[in-house]
Amino acid sequence: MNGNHIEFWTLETEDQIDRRHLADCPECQRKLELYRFLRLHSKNVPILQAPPFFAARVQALIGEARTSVIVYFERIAGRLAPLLTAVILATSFLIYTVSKKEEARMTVIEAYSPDMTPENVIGFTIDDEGSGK
Amino acid sequence: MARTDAELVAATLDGDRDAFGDIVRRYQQFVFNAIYHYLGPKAEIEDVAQEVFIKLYRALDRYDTSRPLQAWIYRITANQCFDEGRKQKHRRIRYFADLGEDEEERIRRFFEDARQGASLTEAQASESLRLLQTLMNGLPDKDKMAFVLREIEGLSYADVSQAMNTSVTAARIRISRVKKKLMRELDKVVGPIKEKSGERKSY
Repeated sequence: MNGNHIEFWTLETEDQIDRRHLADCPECQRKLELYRFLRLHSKNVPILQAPPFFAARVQALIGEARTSVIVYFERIAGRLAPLLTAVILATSFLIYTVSKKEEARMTVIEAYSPDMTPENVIGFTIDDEGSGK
Repeated sequence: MARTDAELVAATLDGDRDAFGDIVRRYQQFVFNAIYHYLGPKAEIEDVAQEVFIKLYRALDRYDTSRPLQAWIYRITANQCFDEGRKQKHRRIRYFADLGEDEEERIRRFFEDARQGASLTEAQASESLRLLQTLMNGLPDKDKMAFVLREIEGLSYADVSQAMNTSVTAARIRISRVKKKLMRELDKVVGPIKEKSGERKSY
């Protein structure tokens, strides 16, 4: 017999077969038939066509998933909108009122003490060494 | 001009749903057939394919554009088939039992016809998948998937390795091993061949 048995499972094409060995080896002849049979059926399985509109259906499913998230946030935002507006208005009004009061207070202080300086208010100055006089 | 995968991914991430539709159209044929050939004719192929694309969409922002999109789709498809295969294991066993006693005889007859050099009739071709499923049922999931991707879908070893998350060498070795196993199984099923008197085949 010529050479070793043929390892059909490693072959990519029949061109790789050692023909001289094959001619004298009933075992490899049998394996070649098994190999051909397996190949024949692997290459002849029915092929499916994806159904028409499959891509559109996937797009719709993705759209649903995305829409549901967006709708959820829109709904939440819709419910919270009046409350958020009220909070913003109230905060703005509060800031405005406080700043107006502060402004009025400063005007009064300045009117009664036009020469008011930090030294006059605190009553002493701080020298370079950090001790108050 | 058709947009590249990377352009379609970028457009999808920018909210262009039509771009994702183009990705689906580009790969749906592969996804459908890989599922069909792996899970068999009785599987809910469209549902599984939908799941593949929805998973792809959800994970698209993690897509590494330096790698081919198709490899990622192959991998998601393979993993989805494994999940589905596990769910359907009971069905697969029943399906195997459905084959009946004459299945071996049918395979033997097919084999005899092939030996005589007859090409497959249309009816036999439509039986090919069932026959292969019968042979492949005993294989571990990864072996079966490697065989389907390489020998049926015709992917390169590099593509199979990416789908199976392994090296090209490992994919090549796995596929050789599977073919060897299947040939051995087939050998058992078809049994000894009776040569007709005076018959001499040329190889």
